Amino acid sequence: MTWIDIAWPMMVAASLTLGLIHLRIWFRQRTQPAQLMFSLAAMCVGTLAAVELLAMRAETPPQYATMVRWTQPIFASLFVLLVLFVRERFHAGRPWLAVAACTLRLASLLPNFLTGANLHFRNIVELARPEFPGNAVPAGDPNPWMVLALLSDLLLVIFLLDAMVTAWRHGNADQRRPAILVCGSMAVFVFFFGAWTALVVLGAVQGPLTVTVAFFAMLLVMSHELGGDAMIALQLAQQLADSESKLRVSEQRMRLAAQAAELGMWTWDLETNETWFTETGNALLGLEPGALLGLERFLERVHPEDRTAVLRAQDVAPGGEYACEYRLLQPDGGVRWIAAKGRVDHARPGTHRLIRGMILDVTAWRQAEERFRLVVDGAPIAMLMVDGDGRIALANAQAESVFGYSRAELLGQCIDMLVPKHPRERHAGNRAKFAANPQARAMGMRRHLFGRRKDGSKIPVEIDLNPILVADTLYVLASIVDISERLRIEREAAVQRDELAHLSRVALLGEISGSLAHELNQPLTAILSNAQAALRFLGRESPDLGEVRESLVRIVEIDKRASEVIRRLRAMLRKEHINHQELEINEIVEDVLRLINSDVANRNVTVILELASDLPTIRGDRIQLQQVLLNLVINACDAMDEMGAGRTLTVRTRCAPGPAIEVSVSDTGCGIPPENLERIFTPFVTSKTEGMGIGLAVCRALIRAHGGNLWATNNPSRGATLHFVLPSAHADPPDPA
Amino acid sequence: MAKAAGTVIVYIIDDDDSVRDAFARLLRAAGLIPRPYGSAERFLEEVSDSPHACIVLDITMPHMTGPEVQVRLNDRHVALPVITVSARDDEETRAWARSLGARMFLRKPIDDQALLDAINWVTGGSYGQ
Repeated sequence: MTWIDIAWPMMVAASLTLGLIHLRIWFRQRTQPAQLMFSLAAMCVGTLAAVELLAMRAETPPQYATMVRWTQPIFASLFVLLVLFVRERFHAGRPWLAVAACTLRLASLLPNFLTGANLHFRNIVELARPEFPGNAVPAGDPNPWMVLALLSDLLLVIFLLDAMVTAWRHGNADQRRPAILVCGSMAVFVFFFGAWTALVVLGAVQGPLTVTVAFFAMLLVMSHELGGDAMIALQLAQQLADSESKLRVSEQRMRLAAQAAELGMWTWDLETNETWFTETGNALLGLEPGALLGLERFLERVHPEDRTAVLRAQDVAPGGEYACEYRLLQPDGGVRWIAAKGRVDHARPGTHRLIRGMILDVTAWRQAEERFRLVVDGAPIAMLMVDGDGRIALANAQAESVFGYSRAELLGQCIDMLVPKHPRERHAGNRAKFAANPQARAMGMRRHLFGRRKDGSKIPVEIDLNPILVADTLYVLASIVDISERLRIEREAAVQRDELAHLSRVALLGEISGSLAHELNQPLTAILSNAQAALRFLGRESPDLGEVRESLVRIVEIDKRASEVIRRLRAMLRKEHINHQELEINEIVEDVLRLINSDVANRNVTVILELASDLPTIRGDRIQLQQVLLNLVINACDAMDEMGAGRTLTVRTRCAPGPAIEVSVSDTGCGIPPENLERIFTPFVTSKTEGMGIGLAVCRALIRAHGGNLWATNNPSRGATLHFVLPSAHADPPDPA
Repeated sequence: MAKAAGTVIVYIIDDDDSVRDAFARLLRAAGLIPRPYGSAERFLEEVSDSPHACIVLDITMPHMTGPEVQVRLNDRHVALPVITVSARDDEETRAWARSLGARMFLRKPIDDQALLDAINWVTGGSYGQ
């Protein structure tokens, strides 16, 4: 028993095992013929080793020769398998070299079986059994046909080198290494095996005629190479498993997140019209978990008005977006708003479309939106929200009715279309100014603003502007009130007030008729007496013409005075349009007191005038202001009727902030009960026994129409004071009323 | 009668200059002696009782009420007849005139004859015309 007896059977076993393993791998992966070729090659090596072992244990030269002869077909098979393996594995090596090498090797089988003892020996003379390796070593005449075998070996080596070079040139780094390793080692082993065989046959060296060791080593190299593939496959498998588990984790996360956000995910196959929902999705639809729902049944649950929208939304090209909102009918009769969003896609490239997406219950949001809409629409004023470019982003129902446009006609349009033509040019500039300094304010100081209706008519409006910041975009909310009706009522009220003022003036004249009679009768008296005196002087025997002339001069003077009284009286009674002009308040005070002087005197009232000089002028109607003052003076005198001595009327004028002037009329009567300080300005409330008590109400209305105010206070000592203020002529003009 | 005519003195008290002057001129033309005063106070300072005299008092004057004038006249023992006149003719003025104890109340404007008759009557027919 030599070491060969141990080593060779081990090689047989190992080769066959490798062959079987790779055969099994090939069975699993039919797409890799290299595995099959390697498997067959390994089995060939195993068989070769077994036959070689028998040859080395041969007792006689003929026995040995026969064994060697039978190694040749096995070796030829191995030869062809190696060539195929290289071609298959590396796609390298010139095919004609491969064909030539294989053809020569197969051709060498003919002399192997037909000439001499075998391909290598014509005859084998003896079998030596040297001490080492202790197996049969042939010696004999070489067979000249051996040249064929050597040539085919040489071609194989060239083929392998060629394959190596090609693989080096075309392959990348991953492919180069195995190509060089496999082809290089094959070339080296084939070369040494060929050389060794030639040397043994020619008797240059004494040794066994064996190829197994070289090919077994080759097998190990190839197996390592293929095993690398298996390792890579294993790694890939591991990575795949890893990523699958990661995918599963991320899917899990996504599902949990979707659940937490109450998002339902769904798929809608547009060909089969099958729909699929996640648990949350089913819950949103009110279905049991896992229940499947066809499109038909799904649509039954959608509000009839929204069905068309749901179907129409799917008409999107692949890659496009599906978006719609619809109402779901609830079993309890309620309605839920669902927002659906998704992406239209192909199930696989080239196949029919399907939509993957998610749904969300937006009922609460919709309700909030609806509430907002109801509030905005229910607002009694027109509201328009305008973006930075002046485009209308929101309009409420009132805005529709004020401007006569429908909402669809308003939205997206420029706000300038609602502005009359004349100020429109300025409007864009004003808008830019507002955007530069957005502050809530009344537009145009609320004066002389007009809107333009759809029919082209102008309407007076009042506008408040409020800046609103929505997601970094500046909007302006304009609140617009149509004030045509208010202006009409104000105009009517002004007419009524003027009428009332006139009537109260007439009534006032009745009250001061005594005084008026005095004012007129005094000059008439003087005229009459002068005239009669003149007649008497003329009637004398020697007429006193000097006295007559003097009488006539006086008559002319006094007549003028009388006509002045009548002129003033007419002015008071005249029903004229209000004539606003610049006035000196002191002048009016003096006029009034002159008119009522006799009355005041008659009542034994002392008048004190404290008129400030350098007062600003005021704008107003002289007659109305006279009327107010006359009323206040008469009231003050009336208030002192019950007293004995100490009846004092004080009229003061002074400057007031604003700039404005203040007039106060004080009496020394019994004052006004505090609870009546405001009530006395109510129509038909009077402390007097006569009169209708509209005097103070009318006075206040007149003063307010002048942009001022009228009020009453009690004096610290005794009596009451009525005050009124009027803005100076050069203060801001009051609201036109 | 004519003899007495020159002796009748008429005190005219009226705050209105033109009326006072006119009355004075008329009375002068009628041959009477007018004594015009712009205020009751000044008149009261100067007045003295005399048989052929009367007072024409405008009662629409400030600072002196009818009873006050009466009291002041009584204080001075002046019993001159008073003819009250006024440009006003309302109840208030008439009441005031009565309260003054006036013999006559004449409403302005006053016809010359009515005034002269009144003076003639209150002075006891002491002058003719």
